[in-house]
Amino acid sequence: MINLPRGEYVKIEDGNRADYVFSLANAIEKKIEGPLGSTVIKIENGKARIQASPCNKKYCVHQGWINKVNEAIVCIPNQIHLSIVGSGPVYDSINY
Amino acid sequence: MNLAKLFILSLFLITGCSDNKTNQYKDYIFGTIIDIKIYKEDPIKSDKVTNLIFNDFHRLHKYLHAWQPSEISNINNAIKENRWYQIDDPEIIKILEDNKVLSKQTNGLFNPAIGELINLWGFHSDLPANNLPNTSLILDYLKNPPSMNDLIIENKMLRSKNTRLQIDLGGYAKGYALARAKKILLDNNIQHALINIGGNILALGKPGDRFWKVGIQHPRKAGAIASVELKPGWSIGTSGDYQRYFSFNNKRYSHLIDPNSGYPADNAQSATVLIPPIQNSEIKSDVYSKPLFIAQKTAKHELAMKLDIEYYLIILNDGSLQISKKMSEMIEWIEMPDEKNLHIQ
Repeated sequence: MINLPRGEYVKIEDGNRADYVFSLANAIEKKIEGPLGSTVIKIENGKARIQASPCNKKYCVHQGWINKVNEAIVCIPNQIHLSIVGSGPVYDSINY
Repeated sequence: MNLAKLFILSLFLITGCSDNKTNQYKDYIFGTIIDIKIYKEDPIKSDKVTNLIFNDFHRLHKYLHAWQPSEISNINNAIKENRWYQIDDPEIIKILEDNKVLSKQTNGLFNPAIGELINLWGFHSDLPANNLPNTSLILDYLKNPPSMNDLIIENKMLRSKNTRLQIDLGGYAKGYALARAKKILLDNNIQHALINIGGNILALGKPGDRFWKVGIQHPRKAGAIASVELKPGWSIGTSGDYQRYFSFNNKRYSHLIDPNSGYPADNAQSATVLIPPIQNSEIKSDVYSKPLFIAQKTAKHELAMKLDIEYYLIILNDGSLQISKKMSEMIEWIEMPDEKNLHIQ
């Protein structure tokens, strides 16, 4: 079992292909809209999970927390896709 | 069968190791870090051309330094002593005239004539200051504040109508150096490079089949708040209160002095401008972030329009964001701001 690196961000994609990226170093809840309604995503202590979902079976909620790169949770009915993004360089240089 | 597997494996290893096509160089000049990435170029040629750039920068540093002995400090001494000064080098004349134009364009908010005021606040030193200047000194300065209009250059002779004018090109030098680096790279036939001078970045060409991409430093956290693609020839510059500042009685005083109030501007945490490859773009990417940082909150957008700045991001002192429409369409958030804190102009 490969020990994947801990991710730094969670990427949330909705049905419209919009991407939202949040640092896992936050303690927040985000509501993302899908065709069935609001999915609530919770981020704290370096991990993320789907806290609440308008879908019937709630498989996505039962998945629990993710925090490793490439880990993902999908809610197909509400078209929400959570994935952990690694700490590789996302840019070539930093402007400050 | 075994030989075939070995052959395929070795192919994979060869191609697998050759993905680092960029040569990277670092140097420390202008009191800041210079970072140059050159894409897919012969390493010996990259080394040679980068050395040319660093040597040119060392020359510029000695030439343009605001407080160490330099041509600029010679000029400043002459002004202080109410003497005329003869300038033989056309490069300095061009730089000073450029600064006069830029100061006027920005309604004096970019004001390279206030070197004495910057010094008063302790920012003419490589070490941070730790206390406030006497208010009476600031008020006295504001009675007859110097501007670039006071600088007269005729027939290679320079003088100032205000002896308190002291030139400080801190808000211009990085942009100027970017333009110099671009010239040296292109003259030597290097088309694809990313040059970062103290955070001010210029993109030349592109690294293969994608564009260069830069992060924008979060003014209050360790990482980037967003990233943005820099297409060929585009440049980006930010003025911020998070690097050169000091704190006193729980208040932050940054090096970005408002020439009107005599005090560090404090209505913003950072101002970022993205400039397409137009004339003088590298210099604009440095200079234009200052007036956007300093201007009153309600005047920032109008000033951006006046300067034809279509891509900007300003983070105000309360953490809310003012962003131009075009920038909001181009930016890739690393930390998505709350809608209520994001004001798209």
